Amino acid sequence: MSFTPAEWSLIASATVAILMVGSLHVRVNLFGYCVLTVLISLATMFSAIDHHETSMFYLAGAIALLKGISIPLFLYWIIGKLKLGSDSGAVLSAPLAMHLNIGLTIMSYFLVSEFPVPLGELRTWVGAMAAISMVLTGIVLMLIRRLAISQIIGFLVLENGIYIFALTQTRGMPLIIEMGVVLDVLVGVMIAGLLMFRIQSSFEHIDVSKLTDLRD
Amino acid sequence: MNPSLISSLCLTTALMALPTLFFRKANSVALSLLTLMFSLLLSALVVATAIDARWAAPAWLSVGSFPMTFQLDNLSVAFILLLTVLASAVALFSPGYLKHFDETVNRGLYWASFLVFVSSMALVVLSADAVTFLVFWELMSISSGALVATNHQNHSVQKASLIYLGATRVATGFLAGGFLWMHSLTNSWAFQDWHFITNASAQLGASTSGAHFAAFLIFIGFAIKAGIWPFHLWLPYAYPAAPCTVSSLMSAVSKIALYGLIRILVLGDLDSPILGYLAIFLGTISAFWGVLFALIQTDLKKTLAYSSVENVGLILLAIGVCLVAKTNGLLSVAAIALSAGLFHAIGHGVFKALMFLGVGTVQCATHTSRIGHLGGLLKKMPTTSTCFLVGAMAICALPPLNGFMGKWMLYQSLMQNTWLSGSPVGAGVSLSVICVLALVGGLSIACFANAFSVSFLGEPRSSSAARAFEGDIGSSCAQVFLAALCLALGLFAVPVIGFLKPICDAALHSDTTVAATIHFSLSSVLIVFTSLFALIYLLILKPSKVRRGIIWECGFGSVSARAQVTADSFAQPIARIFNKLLSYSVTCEIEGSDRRHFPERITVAPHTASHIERRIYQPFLKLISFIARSLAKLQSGSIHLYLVYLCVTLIALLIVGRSF
Amino acid sequence: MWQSMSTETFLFETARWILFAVITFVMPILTIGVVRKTRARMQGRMGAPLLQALFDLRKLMQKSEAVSSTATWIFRSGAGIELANMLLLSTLVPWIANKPDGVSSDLFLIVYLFALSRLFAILAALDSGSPFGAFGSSRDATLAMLVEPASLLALVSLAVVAKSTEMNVIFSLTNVLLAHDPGLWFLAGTAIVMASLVELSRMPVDDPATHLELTMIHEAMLLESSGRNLALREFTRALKMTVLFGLSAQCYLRAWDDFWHFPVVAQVWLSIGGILGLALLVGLFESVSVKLQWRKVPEFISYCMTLSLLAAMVAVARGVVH
Repeated sequence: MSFTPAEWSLIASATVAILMVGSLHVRVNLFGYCVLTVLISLATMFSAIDHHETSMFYLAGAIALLKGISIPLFLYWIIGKLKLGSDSGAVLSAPLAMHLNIGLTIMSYFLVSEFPVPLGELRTWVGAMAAISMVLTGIVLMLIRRLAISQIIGFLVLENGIYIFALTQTRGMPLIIEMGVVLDVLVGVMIAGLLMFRIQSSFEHIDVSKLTDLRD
Repeated sequence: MNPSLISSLCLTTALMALPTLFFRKANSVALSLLTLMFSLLLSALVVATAIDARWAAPAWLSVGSFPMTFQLDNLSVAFILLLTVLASAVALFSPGYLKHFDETVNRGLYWASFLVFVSSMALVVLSADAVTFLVFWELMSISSGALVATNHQNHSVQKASLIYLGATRVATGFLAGGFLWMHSLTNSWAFQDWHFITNASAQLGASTSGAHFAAFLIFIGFAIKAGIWPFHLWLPYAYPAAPCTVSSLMSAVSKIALYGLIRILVLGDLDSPILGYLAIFLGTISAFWGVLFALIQTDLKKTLAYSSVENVGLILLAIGVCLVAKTNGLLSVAAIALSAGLFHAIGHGVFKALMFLGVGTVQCATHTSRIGHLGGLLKKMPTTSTCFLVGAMAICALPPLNGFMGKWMLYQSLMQNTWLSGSPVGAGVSLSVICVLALVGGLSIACFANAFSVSFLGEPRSSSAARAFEGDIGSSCAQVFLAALCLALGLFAVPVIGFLKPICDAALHSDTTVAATIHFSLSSVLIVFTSLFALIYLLILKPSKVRRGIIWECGFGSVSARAQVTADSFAQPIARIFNKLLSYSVTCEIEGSDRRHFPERITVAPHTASHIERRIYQPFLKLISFIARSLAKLQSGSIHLYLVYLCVTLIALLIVGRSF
Repeated sequence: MWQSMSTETFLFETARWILFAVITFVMPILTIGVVRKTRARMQGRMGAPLLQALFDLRKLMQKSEAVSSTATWIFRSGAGIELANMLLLSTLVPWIANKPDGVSSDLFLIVYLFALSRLFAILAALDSGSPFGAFGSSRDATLAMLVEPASLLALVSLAVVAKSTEMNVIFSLTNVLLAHDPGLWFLAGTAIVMASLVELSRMPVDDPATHLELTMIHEAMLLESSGRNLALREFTRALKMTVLFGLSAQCYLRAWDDFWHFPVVAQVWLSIGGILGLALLVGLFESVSVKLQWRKVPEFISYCMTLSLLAAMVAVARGVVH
């Protein structure tokens, strides 16, 4: 099995995403997200080298800087402010959820083999598989956690999955749109983080499973 | 040699045993010798008779107008030899064991049921048609029910025998349903005419539509009798209530149910992948469930009963792999799986009997089988303890004993299935089963390390354990014989598998080569290991100067024997991990005026409950008793009302009859 | 077998076995030494000499032995059984490249021989009647139960691709089936390293330097051993560590494509270097990590299981589907 460096980094990032599910520590999860995003930015850089596209270099840099470093730093600051340690988890225990996630990854492998999109000159099934697996991982992360901060991290993982899909399957998106998406995510996280402060001050917790009380 | 001698021998023994019923104080030694003679004669006859014989019983011995037919092939020979070996060991063991019961236990009843039980088991294995099979199957169930109830003054024994008889009734019901269905499909009672094929193929012959439903009924019937999850609940009641000798023979009974599965479904060319995967699923769950519950038991007999669930699950798993592989055309995989199942069935029969006999000796010596009341028995009962250790090692599948070879072949069949199936589903199922088997292996080590070391090592925890003594010569002989058999079956697995080859050939209609897949020899492993150990012992351990002293307890002086670990506390870390499955919780009560610093009394008790029993069986039984109570209202005691029922029934029947 | 061998092959084989025996006896001492030295250096100490374990063993061999009056034959023979079993295993497990072939190298045989050692370790700990040893062995049984599926699955996933359950075939450097599979080797190697940290009761699971009886796992099981008995058990554990680290080092080395084509001598040296390198890494890891709370240990093991599951997934995709 010989993969290109870009594919290796995508596989590694999908694996890191799966490993993130197993830990309930918010800081560990955040660090995992950071590693995962840097790996994705590396993948972008490698495919830029493969295809000689300078614009993708800028994109790789933007991802590493904005998504890989500023968002984690911002969330780290929030975690410190809100004094969050670890999530208590909901529905499933973390180790079981992690093992279940591997099942989902295997499922994505079979989904990819029956994919309607024609495979490009790259063997993109690795990328597609990593993308689908990461989207599912993001959903699982959001599903089995209680704290709002974990929901944000889960959402970010999911967003990364969508980005990988776009990167490996189309590779035709203009730089300006990608940049826009990255900035959108940044702004979205900022707003979500600020909202979390408000939730914390009004309810004295950020446990989403208790938000059902808001229903009248 | 005339094969009908075999069935006549069994029938005469069963009939001859009946008068013994009336001698309450029958002489155990004489009857034990009789059983031994019967076993030896039976095995000699079976070995001497030509294989693949078929014969009918004499005309006077027929069920209505239906003549009983019997057959002898390698499959029945294997199981009869297992049966005779166990029966002789138990017969040797029984006289000494029965002494420990008081006079309320009826010796005559015990021996009569015992002989009927053994001979009817042999006859079940010999049966060639469904009717004969059911007749002796019933005889076997009833006689074993009588044996379970040996100590019937005890309340828990009464409950256990009721549950056991209930379970056998349900099992027989399912079996009879399946047999009738197959009869209506094939118009024959003989097993050799029954083919469970729905897709006609040139190799296997004609198809029988609807046979899968019959196969399903038969499967459920045997699963109940074998004690497969979720029908295993009778096992932990019946085995501990029965005398140890009976439990060790009854673990052979669950093998008879598996024999039935192999005889009817596997040799009947069942080609249903659904049933195969169901067998794999139920087998895997039973294996895991059994060993998990075995771990948390505090009674040696219950531990062994649950571990029977585990081992029966492993055998069923092997049968399931065989069925699936055969349906997919992977004959080599099916052959290994079938050999694994048969080998493990024989192996489990031997080591489980060995362990039950060990518990029997312990019970004789200490009048208890609760682990918490034992301890330090290795010094007082060296033979029993060592034999029990051998049994425990075999049950944990440790090399070089027979348990390992059975499990190795099971692993091998799963690995071959992964390589050859070529489908990710088959590979995924095999790998997940391997994973669960590894977990089961780890759990069984924990379970039997716990059971053995808490009961046989350390200091005695009760005065009766401190006064323990070794059993009589007969019991020691029986145990040593079975322990040696465990080792021999492990070391000489290749010839045994060679003996099982014709069964695989017959089941798969092809020439199989299972023995060739065993590419290592346990004998050489044992030789290297023993020589290394002897070297280390002679050079390093033996010359060392040894002082005896007390154990380290942080300098308090000497700790009491009750400070030792108990079976509960040893199992606690694992029980906590699986607390959702076991509904495990520990309550701790501290009494005293200043409870924190000067407790006067501390009570700690773990609690577990079985989800299946509480959530499914109990509501179901309640429903049944509710329906029964409602029906009982019909019985009012008034003659006139009964006459009304009679009249209504008559009219209804007349109306129904008119329409035909 | 011996008759068909020419004199030269016979001499060559004998030399190989003697060399292997020497390595088997030296490596455990060195591995322990490297771990301890690294930890000492990380704490800013000089640390004991590299061969300190050897001096300790010599000292223990000369001491007399104290045995609990409760103990039976199992207690003392247990140490011998464990060492004999471990020596047997060291000839079966391919923990060093180009190892001479033992009597067999079947994967399941090896796993169950390890289980045999574990059973006798537990029995010996409980034989003395000490509650500390019993708690240690109860935890040990729990960990072993949790880690067994993970370690077995890691090896089995290699076997799925190699289409054999013989470890000699799986780890053979001429077997092309596994030649270009860095991902699989890496996953399996990491799973085995994590599993062996648990099996050996090392850092995130148990602190080998701790001295509180109530929390210890492996040390608690040794609490009653002294003199030669203790020497045997210490050496057994060091040998087990070498064999397990060696096995994972072999996996990592095979993930490196060039390794397959090196000359034999270089492969052996790299194997030794791999074991010592892993010992160094473990020493570094132990210096910076803390012992996990007992209830968090299953979470650590679940990561090991995850890696094994990923390895199995890769193996099925590699060996069955394509």
